[in-house]
Amino acid sequence: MMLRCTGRLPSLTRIALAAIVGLAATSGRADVSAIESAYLFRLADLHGSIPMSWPSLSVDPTAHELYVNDRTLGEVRVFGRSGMELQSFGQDDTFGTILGVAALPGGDLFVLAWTTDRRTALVRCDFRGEPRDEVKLRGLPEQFAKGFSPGALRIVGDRIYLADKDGMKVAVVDETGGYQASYDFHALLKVSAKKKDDARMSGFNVDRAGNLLFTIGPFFTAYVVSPTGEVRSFGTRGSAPGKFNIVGAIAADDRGYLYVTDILRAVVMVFDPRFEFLGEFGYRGWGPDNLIAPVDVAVDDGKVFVAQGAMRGVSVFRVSIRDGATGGG
Amino acid sequence: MKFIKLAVMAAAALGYSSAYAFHDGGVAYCDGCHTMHNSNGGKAMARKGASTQFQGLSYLLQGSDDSSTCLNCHAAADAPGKPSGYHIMTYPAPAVGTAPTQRTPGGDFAWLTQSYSGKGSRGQTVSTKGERHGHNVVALDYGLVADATLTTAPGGTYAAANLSCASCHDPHARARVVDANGTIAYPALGTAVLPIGKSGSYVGNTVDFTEEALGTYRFLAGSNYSQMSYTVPTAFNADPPVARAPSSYNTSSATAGGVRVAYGKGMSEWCANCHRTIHNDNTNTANTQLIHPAGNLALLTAAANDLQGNATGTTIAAIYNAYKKSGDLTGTSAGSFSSTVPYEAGTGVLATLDALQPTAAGPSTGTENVMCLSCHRAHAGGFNNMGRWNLQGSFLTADNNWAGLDGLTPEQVDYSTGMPMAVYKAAMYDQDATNYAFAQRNLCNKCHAKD
Repeated sequence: MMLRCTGRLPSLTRIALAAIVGLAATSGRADVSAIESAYLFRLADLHGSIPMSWPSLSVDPTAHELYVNDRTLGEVRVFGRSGMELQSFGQDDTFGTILGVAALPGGDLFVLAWTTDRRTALVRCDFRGEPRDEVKLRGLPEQFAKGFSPGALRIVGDRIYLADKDGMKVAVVDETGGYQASYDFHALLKVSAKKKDDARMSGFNVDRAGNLLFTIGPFFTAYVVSPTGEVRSFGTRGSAPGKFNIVGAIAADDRGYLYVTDILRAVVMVFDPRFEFLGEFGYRGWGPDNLIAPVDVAVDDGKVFVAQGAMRGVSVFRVSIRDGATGGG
Repeated sequence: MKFIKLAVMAAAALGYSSAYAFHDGGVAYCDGCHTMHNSNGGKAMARKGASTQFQGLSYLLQGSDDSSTCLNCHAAADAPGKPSGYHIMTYPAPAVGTAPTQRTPGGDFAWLTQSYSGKGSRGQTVSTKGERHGHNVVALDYGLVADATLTTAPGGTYAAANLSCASCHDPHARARVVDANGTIAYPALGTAVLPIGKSGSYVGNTVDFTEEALGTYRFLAGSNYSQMSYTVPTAFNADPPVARAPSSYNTSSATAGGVRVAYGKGMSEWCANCHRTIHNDNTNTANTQLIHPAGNLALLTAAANDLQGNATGTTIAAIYNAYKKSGDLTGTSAGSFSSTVPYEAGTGVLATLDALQPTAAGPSTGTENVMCLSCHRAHAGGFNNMGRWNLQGSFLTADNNWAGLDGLTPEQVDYSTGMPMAVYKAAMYDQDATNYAFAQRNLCNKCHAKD
């Protein structure tokens, strides 16, 4: 089942919905002040801000550390609460090309990599990034496993989520690689054959409740899929506040507020758990609080981390939501 | 009732027009790329230098520059070995030693950032320079800078500093295909033309031509095109080419055939909009210009040496069909097509191109012609001179494998252009070296069979 706010409908229904959407949009505009954002700093080491382009981000909510995968240099940098680099690993090509990294609650890491012999490997490492074992996936349904080639990795609790963003599939396994669940978004979204080429995940994430979050750029849409497979979606194409022009990453905080980037509009939009638009921040520019092509977002410990292009690295914001609480978990 | 409502909403969720949804085959929606007042939600949408709210960027663009605007969507951090969709640049560009990911027919602009150099078996330098790998479009947000060596277009006067995606692609898609024969038309003051209904780039896309037109291939710009950001020094005088691609065009293939784009006609004439004096479409029948022909009249039926003592005993087309690899001329027209050495069919008839695209059939009609893209990639590739293969080397393979700086034989190292073997293979679009000869010579021989 899928629920959605807007779309292409028979004209009468469309007009009726447009009126509703219009009201909702008006409501959204009235709520633009529902968030306040404050730029804090950019991730740095002892030499200052670290220039990186389009790194991918992963949060360890237990240790409140941020893992930043810098694909240009082929390394993972680990940052603490202060935004200073604590350590890095992967420079020696141990893994091949690192596609994703995520931390287990106990501190061990999982690294998803494209190996030099051209295959995908899931490697369990210690907290320093030293490889221990390659974990083989076991028990995936035969039909699902056909062509499954994960390129993104998330961990929530003891469940490891592997996403094939092009294939629109997600497998969930345990720490030993044992099958837990699988999702075929092409099937869940009932994507027609004609649109399959465009139906690729732009952003992928998992919230603390195990809901799967993803965006599809050419559909101008963000999706939330419950663990039981119920699909909800939102998003309207456009460049006004709260609209999706080139929608990118998506993340959720502890309370279910959603943070969605728009790469062209260069903003991070904030939505409440009912998909009501609350406000946005960033905007294209070279000022410290501006963004350039924000491609990934992560939320933790009251902070929102935004990965950018143009060697702008990762900017960190604090976002307050009007009810007095602070967004960002 | 509730169920019906949910069902309708579910259907609506995927009810957008297809693929290519952002452009809709033409000019797209205005505020997709522009901001009218540089103000939204009470704030400036873009800030750069003195630009503040109500004071926008050049041409009211949302992006930092023309090409950066495009690459916001068309660049992607796709995993190695997993090219996807409409992405024409791997970003962030991988470090030297790791090949860019995308495999579109035009290539991956990240190759522009990759220079390779090493020592050959005799201590000689073997190298290839990123700048020479393609069209150096300027996209500052994505680290792409102007060509520092060729400061104007070879054979023309187009300034390298102004080269952008919009130099070739008309984002407003003025030109259009107005009939099933691929006829190009343009709107103009005082005239009326059909509106663009959908993209014309893809096999099977068609419209009722009494009501709508198709967009041109990749909405390439046509006659009298002029950007707002740059006054073209020599006005475009050629229509955009006609071609049809499969929707799954961004893929690699282990086989030599590869993904076929059914090029129709007009590609070289169109390239000559900027590279005018470098172009010889074979109208100079005396061939006093003495440069390689390319264009609608550079037919593959041209006479060629039959290798048996008759200097004009066969045709280029016959050699193309027969050539499989160095020394092996046992091929037939049924399976001779190579996406590494493509040609134009010599027609703009869309149905003909659509029928040709999924096949591996070689030239057979007598209308086929060589074009610029027979040897060059339009965007960027791994080799100098934007070559689809290493145009400058005698050998592509040695000892039954690709050349590579990490090769095991002196020949593999000497013809590596400084690349590791894995990168060289990627530059050859992941083809297996075993498709070619044990010691495969330059693919100029696909048409000339001098090997």
